Amino acid sequence: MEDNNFTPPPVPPVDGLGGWQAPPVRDTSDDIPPLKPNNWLWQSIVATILCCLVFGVVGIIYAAKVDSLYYKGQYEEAERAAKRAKIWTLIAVVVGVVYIAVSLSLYLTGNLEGLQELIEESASGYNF
Amino acid sequence: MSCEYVQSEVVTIRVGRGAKIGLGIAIAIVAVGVLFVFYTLDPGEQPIFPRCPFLLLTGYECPGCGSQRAIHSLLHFDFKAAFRSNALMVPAIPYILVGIYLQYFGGSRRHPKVEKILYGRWSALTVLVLVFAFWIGRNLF
Repeated sequence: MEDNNFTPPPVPPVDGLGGWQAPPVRDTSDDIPPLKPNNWLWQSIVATILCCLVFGVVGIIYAAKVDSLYYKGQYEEAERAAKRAKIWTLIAVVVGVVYIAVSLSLYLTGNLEGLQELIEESASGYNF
Repeated sequence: MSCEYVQSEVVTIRVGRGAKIGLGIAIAIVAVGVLFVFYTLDPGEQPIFPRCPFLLLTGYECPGCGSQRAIHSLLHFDFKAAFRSNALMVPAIPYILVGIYLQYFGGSRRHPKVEKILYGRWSALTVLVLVFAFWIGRNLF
């Protein structure tokens, strides 16, 4: 017949509106770490080894900084280091390309000896 | 904060595509031309190849000195001579090729662990130490 063993589901205690507490909402928007900035590592190696220029080494130094700063949680500093890595790598590439273009055009016009002498002479003061 | 990254990525994708393919083709053509010149002419003998400004200025070799001769030797499969011209160059080429694949051909999405290991913090420091050791060592010995 009738189910006498029926027990009503437990009713949550109600004491006005004060009884219900909203679950604490945590603002998680700041917890998501930004993407790791590109550290320009292999590009700066290209600049160092292929373009024969020392500026590329500065790029490698900043590439190393980007990752260590990022994993320490210093995201803004990592972002800044990434920008410097990019700038120094690009400087190395641009200076390298300009140097190659100038010496090629001087060679083709037959004035290359002049450029190399100029470099060696201007360097004589700093040669230790 | 993270919104900025998403937005810039969308912009590059929109601008990219056609321009990217054109740029890629242009780079490939120039690369093949340059490699052909490096294959046919020997940088050790021809004066047309520019000399390193660091070597001219200081009299010391930089980490990149000898890479033109090394490319020439590598194109002729003479690994010994390439190693003698610039020992850093030979292992750097596959490393650079993997970096290009990861960044421009979707490799970093497919193999994020590889990128973290090969191009992360410790590898950057290792590369730095290697470059400086090679730079000092080649001028001492």
